[in-house]
Amino acid sequence: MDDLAGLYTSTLRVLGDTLVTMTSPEWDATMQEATATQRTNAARLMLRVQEARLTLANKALGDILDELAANEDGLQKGIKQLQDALDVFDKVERVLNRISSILSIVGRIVPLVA
Amino acid sequence: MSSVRTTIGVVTLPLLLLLQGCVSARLAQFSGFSQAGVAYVKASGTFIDEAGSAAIRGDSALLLKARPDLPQPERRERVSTANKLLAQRLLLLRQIKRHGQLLQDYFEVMGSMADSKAPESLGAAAQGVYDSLAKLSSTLKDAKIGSSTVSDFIPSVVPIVVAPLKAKTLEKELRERGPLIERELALQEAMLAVVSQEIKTDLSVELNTQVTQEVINPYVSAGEVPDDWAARREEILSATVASQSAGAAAQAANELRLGFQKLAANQFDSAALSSLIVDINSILDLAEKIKPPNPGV
Repeated sequence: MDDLAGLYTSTLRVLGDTLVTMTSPEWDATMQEATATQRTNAARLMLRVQEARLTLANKALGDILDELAANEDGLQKGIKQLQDALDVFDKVERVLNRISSILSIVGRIVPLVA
Repeated sequence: MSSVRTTIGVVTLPLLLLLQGCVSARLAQFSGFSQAGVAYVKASGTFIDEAGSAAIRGDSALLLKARPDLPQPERRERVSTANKLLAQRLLLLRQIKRHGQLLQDYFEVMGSMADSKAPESLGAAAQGVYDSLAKLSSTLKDAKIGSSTVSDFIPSVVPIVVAPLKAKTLEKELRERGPLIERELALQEAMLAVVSQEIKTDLSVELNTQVTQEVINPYVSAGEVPDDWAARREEILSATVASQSAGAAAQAANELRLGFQKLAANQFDSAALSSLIVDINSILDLAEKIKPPNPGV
């Protein structure tokens, strides 16, 4: 339970950090060179991260313990990879891929719109 | 300086003098603590309001940032989903504020009990307020507003030892419900810790977009920078720094809980009251600094 509570906390933290990064001036500067498709993909992912953050935050931990336990390994790996990508932040595409990965796991824990 | 803060300052000074010089200093401690508790609830209410506003502003900043790159048919679904999720969060914040208001009612009753002739009927009033608190707190302990359940943050029990008092109604009240009120104060502290964590992210998102749109873009562009550019830059960067000290609210709640323990044990002196007031003022300072730079503009 403690480990799952920690995992839950880490998931929300990395989602929050992702939003802070995706609204930063540095991210904007990098996105200046992005294609229209990349920009749409980034915009969509940013809103999905916020949706995941709010949805998780509004859920009681007890309601999603089983789902968290079932996805523990994937989530831990996803958090680490996303945090690394945010820390280095050299390629937008890599960050977007990592965000997609973690959102697909979060989507197995709580229902997300898309 | 906000008007609320001024009120607290005006209230505090005579209380400090009273605590130092009055023969019935013990009862005056309760009056002082009661008024500080009321001031705390008002300050934390302001902070919670600001947390709700920050959550909406942060979310709006994200929606606006994404809008130009989103296909039109997708926009409606995104904004509707966000509205629903934010409404849930605001409901939780409202419950936390209500919990604080019930604590305020309790502090006021306790202040009235700080009189050797206080009627025993005040005990029934205190019981009624506590019953309402307990009802609401059972819901809040399972509440989620951020990176952990509120109950994960609840600090461990601080034992309440009640030193004898001349005001027997008050002494009886403290012995009966002191430990329970300590738990309610711990819950309040826990909830503010969670709110503080979330408000940091919400504010960072909002301020990041403001830095880009109002500081960097106008400066980098070929045109003239707006006349108020330097002033806006100062406002935004100052708010950015202030947002990182959101933990001040939880600190004040912690001081209040420890102050309650000292009060019961006859260890709540003017220094403790003074320290509590400083922490309460820091919540108001924080709330003031994290408000939007140009509200209503």
